[in-house]
Amino acid sequence: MADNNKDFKEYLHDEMLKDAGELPVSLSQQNITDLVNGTPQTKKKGIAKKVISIAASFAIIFVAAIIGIKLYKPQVKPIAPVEKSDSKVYTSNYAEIQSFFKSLKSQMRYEAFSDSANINFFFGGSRSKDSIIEYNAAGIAEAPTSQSTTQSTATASHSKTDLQVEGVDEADIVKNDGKYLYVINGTSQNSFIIADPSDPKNIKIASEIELDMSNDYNIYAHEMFVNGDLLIVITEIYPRTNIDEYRRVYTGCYYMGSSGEKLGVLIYDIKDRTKPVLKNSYELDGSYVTARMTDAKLLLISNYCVPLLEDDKELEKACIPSYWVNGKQYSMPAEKINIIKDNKDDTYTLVMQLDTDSDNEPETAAILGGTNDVYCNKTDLYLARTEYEENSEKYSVSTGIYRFSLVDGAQYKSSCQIKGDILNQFSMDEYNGYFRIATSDFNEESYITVLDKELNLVGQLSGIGKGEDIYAVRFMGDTAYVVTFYQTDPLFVIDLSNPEAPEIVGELKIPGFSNMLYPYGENKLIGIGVDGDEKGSNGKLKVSLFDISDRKNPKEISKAIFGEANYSEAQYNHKAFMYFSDTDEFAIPVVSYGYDTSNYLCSFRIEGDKITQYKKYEPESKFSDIQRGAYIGDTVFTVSDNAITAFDRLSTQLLSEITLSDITFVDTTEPVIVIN
Amino acid sequence: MVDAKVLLKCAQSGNADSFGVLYSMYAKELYLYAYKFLGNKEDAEDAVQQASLQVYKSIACVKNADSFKAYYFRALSNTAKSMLAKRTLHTVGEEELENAEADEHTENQAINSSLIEGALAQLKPEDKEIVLLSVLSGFSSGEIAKITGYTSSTVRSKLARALKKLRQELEK
Repeated sequence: MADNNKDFKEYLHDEMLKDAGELPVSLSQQNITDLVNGTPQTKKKGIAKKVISIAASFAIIFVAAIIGIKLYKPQVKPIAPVEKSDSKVYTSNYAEIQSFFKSLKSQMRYEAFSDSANINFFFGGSRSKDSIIEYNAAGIAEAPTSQSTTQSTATASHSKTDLQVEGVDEADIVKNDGKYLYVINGTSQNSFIIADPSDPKNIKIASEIELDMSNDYNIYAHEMFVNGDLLIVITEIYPRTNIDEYRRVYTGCYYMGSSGEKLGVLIYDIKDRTKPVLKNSYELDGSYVTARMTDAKLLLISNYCVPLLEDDKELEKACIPSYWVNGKQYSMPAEKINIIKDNKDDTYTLVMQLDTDSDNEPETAAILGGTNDVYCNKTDLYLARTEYEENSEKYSVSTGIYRFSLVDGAQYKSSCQIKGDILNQFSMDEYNGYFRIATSDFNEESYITVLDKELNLVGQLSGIGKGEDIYAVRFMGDTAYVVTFYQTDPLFVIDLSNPEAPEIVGELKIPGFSNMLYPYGENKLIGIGVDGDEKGSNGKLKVSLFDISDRKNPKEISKAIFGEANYSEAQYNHKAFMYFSDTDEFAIPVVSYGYDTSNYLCSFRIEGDKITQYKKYEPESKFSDIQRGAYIGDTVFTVSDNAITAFDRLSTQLLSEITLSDITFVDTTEPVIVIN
Repeated sequence: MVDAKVLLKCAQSGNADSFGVLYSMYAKELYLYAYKFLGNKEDAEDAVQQASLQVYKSIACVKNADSFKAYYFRALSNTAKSMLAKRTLHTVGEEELENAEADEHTENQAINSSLIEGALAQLKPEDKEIVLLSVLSGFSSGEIAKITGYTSSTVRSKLARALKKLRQELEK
């Protein structure tokens, strides 16, 4: 048996190849040719765009070499304290930065890599859903349609994007300001619409803006913010692939890096919702990680992988990150570029802050080392980066944390490395001057680590959920709720009131697991996840209600379990979870994973200690999955890639539906209709 | 030998023969992937055919010849996962073992291979997907990231965990 990974993989490969035998006749070239012959192809306007729903964020982080930081105790290692004399961080001048990259190029060239001049591909598409099997609702009574549940108020209550930190807005594909719905056209991906739902029986499109695709690049609308009369659209910009030009520039370059990809921001004045006017546009090198907005200040984060070009002059240009303001290019100032000397890495995280309501110059900063996830509050930004080390026998994963202060322009402050990797942004939290993070180490154990703002270790709890993996985390003030799972789901309640000694105070073991925990009022948690039995998970989508009023005794007091083959975006993406702020209800989109066509927004009502009723809002257009629900007063909306549908909130009756795309997608058994 | 770029353009214009040639470059790998993922040959044939139809239909969105392989695998991977989801509910392990036993070639397989199938069956489908994409088709973690939607560092850590688990199973 091989004693390292590469040999083991080759061994697996050879054994599997031997076992498979010959290609079956049905899969011969001729048969497949005959099979596809005559099948209508989906045509698209202009250059090839993404067919499949939702643009996933392209956080391709290229961590080239072994970081060289050994695993050790304690479990937190400072990486690059910013000290005057023995600084481990370069923030000096362009020449030093350029020579760093030139030396990186010669070192990395000889690392084992697939092909050189491997042209990076730019197709996108929906994030593949984890294989959670899908179901039809059962077990909870369907709400009688004539029941009245809400009291109407003078100013209509409306849905808002679910946020990790209050006051810090997160970008999303759908925004709702209580009067209009703002939606990225999920099918074309290069337009967005402002919908006027004031007459729910007749939703109108107030305006539709298509992004300009010039000859040089493809541009896709990714997510948005709406703030008063400003609409901020975040885009991804890819240069068109000209293979010959690529070969000329990138020959000898062993990895293409970001290859001209940019993150863009378009700021529209929408005082007149029927005529958005572009005010300012900004661009930043790299691929989109995430964005935040506090009041009118926008924060953008990208990963910029420097192509280690053969030609030194070209490399000198490429290794200094650029940003653009209304088309004019600027280089990031050297003193804002932080090169961590120990990081043998070719990817920067770039941070840009700008005032959306003025023409002030944006502020930028960069740090060497890409970012997977981000925790951001009003004053601080924590970048988290999964660092992976493999040598012959041991695999280890750790998380690098880089803290930037945001108060006076983004300033890099400190960093450290923690054992284990994080699940998502909710694995991190800052509270009362402490930074808390939950990590998990390869199905062995999980940790909660408490750091001060200089990222020095204050306290750590290890050994959580031995043999299991973290499936969900939520920090709420002095308490952390952690779901780990292997066969059963312990929900751990961890007391953080003493930062030096976090401890488990309560535990609940139930079958199945939650993927995401949502606070509900003071004393309850909603878990969206998967049901199970003593053998493990059974794949059924489950909504759980937990009572956490007694931290020593968390209880699952109610649950709703779906039937076969269903999945909800709210298991992985908190923005898909919708609270009704005027009643005790919440809603999640439910779509089927198999051949079943279930695709609806499911709302649940909580009465006292129980989930009592559900309502289904099911659009007519089924061609793509519902991504978001929204509501304004008595109207509920579902938004999918190609349709916005309005329903009466009480009766669930479908009132009107508009489709967004000019292409109709059908399943494989029907002919494609192309409407031009 | 015709340039893959030209073949792709022809396939995008509706030329099925060109598509067939492109397909033949990956036919064996596609079949192998589906077979190992689903555990039996009939399902694998089904999956490859379905995926081929999907790819052919939507081939307009393949941007260049280098993306084609990954695009194909993504379609195949999603098709295979749908098929897996539609099977009756058991843990994945039981499914795979049942099908492996039912397969008429089981007796002819070397002991090694059925051990590997059994070990693969212990993996979660998303981990199995990543192992197979890496081992059978030689995709890099960045390419797998594009296919599956995970970030490449997530891919690397899932791959490491899955390989570790496989080795533990096979060393038993």
